[in-house]
Amino acid sequence: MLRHTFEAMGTEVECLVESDVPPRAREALDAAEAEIRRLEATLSRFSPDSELSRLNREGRIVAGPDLLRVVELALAGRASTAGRFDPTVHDAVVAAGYDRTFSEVAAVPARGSDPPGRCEGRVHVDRELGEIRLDPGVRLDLGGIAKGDAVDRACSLLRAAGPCLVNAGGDLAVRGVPRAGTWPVSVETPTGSVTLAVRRGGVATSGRDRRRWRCGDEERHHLIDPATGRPAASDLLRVTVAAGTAAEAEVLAKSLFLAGADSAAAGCDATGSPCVLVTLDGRTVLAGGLA
Amino acid sequence: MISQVVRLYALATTIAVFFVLWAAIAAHPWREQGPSRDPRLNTLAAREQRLQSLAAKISSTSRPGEDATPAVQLTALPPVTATRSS
Repeated sequence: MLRHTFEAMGTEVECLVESDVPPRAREALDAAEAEIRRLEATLSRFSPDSELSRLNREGRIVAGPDLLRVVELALAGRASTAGRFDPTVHDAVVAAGYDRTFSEVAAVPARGSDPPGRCEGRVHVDRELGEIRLDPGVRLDLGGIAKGDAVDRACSLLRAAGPCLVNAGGDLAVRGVPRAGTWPVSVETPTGSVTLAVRRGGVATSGRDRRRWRCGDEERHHLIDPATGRPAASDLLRVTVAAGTAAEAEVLAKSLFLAGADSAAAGCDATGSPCVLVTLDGRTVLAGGLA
Repeated sequence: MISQVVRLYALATTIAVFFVLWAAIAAHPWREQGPSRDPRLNTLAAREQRLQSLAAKISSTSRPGEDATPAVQLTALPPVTATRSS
């Protein structure tokens, strides 16, 4: 098993591949890293030169295929979660104080500002013209879903060398079955951890336990409730959920976090989406076929 | 005196009329449209439709060659990686 790690998209990225041809595996690992860096350069809101930053500045651009794809994924996510996942939370995240890369926010206390209110801005995509247009005052944050999409794409490239796994912080995808039969993935719980045997698809974890900061006397986090434009007041600390792809899992994880423990568990049981919920009061709830 | 040619035409016309009548009668034009079917055939047709719908449902959830085991389960195997809040 070859393992390759590097820093990108504000987190540590880990690529694993099981191959009997090491040169081919190394070539595929390099291609996977290059793909993630290329997508970061296109989709980061922190880089003024990225295509996403240009869209947020100009409000209307002819976009490349990556931005078009991820924006369409995000809009599909907004529709499928009845707005619990919403890419138009950019100004709300910035108002909460997450206005620089997280390492910068963690180093220098955030100032923050008044929340902009409900996030419901319209985004128009013309696939034929390749054009994306934002309504006045609307800006996009594709952070989590861009990471999920990058993980899915890097994993597809790595698959050429053998069964593989790509994990960017909490967003994870697998392709192919390793000799062990599954990809065992650890999920932290208040009492230790549980291990998920992942055979296919993607897994994502979203929570308020990592990207959080102080703004005055108040602790804030990056999971914005689009209905209020403020950091979500959920009874959950962290959600881990599996889906067909890492990008889909990312959308689902954010939506479940906002739904709260009871609704999230009931929803996952109804749809058969395996999930591990950790509540603020220290309970671990397994649902969607894991219990 | 009737000529042989006229006899021949009369015979041909008679034969033609005979076959047209035969075809018309064999088609049972007096029978009702949409004849009532044997109820057992109706039951069989309904069952076939149910099975076809079930087969379509199964093939849409389990493509050929796809692993039928759950995509994610709990395991006691040592982990190769960890997922945490992104």
